[in-house]
Amino acid sequence: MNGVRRMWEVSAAFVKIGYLTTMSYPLSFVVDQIASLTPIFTYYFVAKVIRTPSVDVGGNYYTFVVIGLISARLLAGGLRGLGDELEFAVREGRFDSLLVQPVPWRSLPLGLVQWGFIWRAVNTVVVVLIAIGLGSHFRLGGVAPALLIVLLGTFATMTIGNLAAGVKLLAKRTDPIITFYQVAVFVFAGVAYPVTLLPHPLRIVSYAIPDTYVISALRKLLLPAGSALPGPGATSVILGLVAFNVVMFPLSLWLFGRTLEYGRRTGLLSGY
Amino acid sequence: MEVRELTKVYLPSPRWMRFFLRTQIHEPVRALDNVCLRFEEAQICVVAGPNGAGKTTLFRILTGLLAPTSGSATVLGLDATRESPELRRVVGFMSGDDRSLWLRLTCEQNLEFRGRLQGLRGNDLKSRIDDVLAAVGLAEKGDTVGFALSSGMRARLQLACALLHRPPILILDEPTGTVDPVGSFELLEMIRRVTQERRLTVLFSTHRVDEIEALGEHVALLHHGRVIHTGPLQRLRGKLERQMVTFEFVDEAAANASIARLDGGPETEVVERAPASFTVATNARIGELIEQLGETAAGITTLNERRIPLREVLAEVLAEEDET
Repeated sequence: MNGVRRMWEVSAAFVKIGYLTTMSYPLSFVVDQIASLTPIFTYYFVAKVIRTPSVDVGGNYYTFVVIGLISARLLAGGLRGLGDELEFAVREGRFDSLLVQPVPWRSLPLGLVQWGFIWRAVNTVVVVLIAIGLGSHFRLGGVAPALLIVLLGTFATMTIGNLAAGVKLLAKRTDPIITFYQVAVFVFAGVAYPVTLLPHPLRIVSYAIPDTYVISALRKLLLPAGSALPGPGATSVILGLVAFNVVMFPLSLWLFGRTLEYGRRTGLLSGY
Repeated sequence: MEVRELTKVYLPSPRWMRFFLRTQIHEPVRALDNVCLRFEEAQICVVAGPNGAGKTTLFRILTGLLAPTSGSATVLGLDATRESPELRRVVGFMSGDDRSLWLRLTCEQNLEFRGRLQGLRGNDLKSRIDDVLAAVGLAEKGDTVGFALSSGMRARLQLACALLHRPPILILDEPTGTVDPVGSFELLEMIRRVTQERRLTVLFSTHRVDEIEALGEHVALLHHGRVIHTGPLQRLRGKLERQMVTFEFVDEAAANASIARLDGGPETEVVERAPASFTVATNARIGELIEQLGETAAGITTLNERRIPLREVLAEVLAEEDET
């Protein structure tokens, strides 16, 4: 119980410092938000071009792609959050001062990424509201399980993010895992088109990426005519993500801790 | 706090890692070599030495940021390698790099963040923030953002951050690195006062001669990763320093008569010569020199004793060490 409370306190401290830091650069904040809305408007016009898609997209291509975009964005938060925050802390010269605090090193990943998650969540609500204003239709009954899937999916990508952050901690600028992963998500996870369009051998890659399952399940839950779409249903995705997270999330934290120990032995921790 | 046979060797990155990051070193670097030190409680101990002496490596090991290759370091009975989380609760760390602060945030916000990480909250946290800000002379600056503080004030804010969880030990790694000489003097005085008031054990690393001299009661001098002196600075001076004494005489004949009596002795050497004066480097006391001069001392008009600056003493010690 004490451990959970401690984790909560550490996270709350990082959220507050994240909020204060973000708000001290107002223009950057506003421009970032405007930039994050760009795809929603771009695909609005793309959807107008593709009025009658050649494959089943659950009825409305614009809503189909909006779900893909917001899922990919939320999951990217889990993927990139820790690595980006670590790189920032090292470059700004604050990493040592964080490591000498009486905080268990394994709790740092959760603390560091909290503010990013909160902000992405708020930003996503805005994106969804704009998309609704532009003509998207979502099934309200699917919202609650969709939120659970997003949460589980974020933990799943955080698992990969923790491993990537470990690599970044030692390799400094290169984060090959994230770069490859993001390319893979964009091409194979079905953000803007159904994975059934991909040739069969390539679909193997699709089904190796957690994002594919999350996006597929969200479309089934939220698209008015989404239940007929191919791909696993919400229940099996939830069970799969729970199993993945139960095994992989603690393992990723453990590996991250081992990476910190390796950096501690070799002196690679705070160099850049 | 004790360090036993501590060795740290930095190795070139393994080959598999060079794919990600080119190695910065190509040969093993022995940053600490069999270092043995003991630091007593409630004292300021200066860890001195030139750049690359191993001071920062030693401090990183003592704060749990780095693991030694061999040997051990214990802080209040806690092993720095195996008990790093517990150790970080009893150590306050400050580096000379003010980038560890959130400079866009106020002093209070910086302290609040540190306090929350340390598990402090509510009124306890608030009163501790007020307490440490007052202790470092920033009581009126709580609402000031870091960027609006001078370098000296930022250093004091960092000291406040290190004091917030009331650790019994402070480890200060070149804390005056970015501070001007006046600010540096003020910070040293502050550290001395806080140390006394709170009965703290302080490890203070520096390569600045004025700081070594100001805090020199307990000095550990490192060079190429080895300890070449521990103890009071005065003992280091005494080991090496020969005072310079200049005699001026009424005339050249009196100077010549005196020089014949002093030169060639086991402890005295003439190092400068002028018609009616000369300078000797000597380990003897002034009284002993006068005694050696006998009746020729009557011709002395002026006598000037000059201590060799600490800078030269240190340079000599380090040069001797390099020769051996």
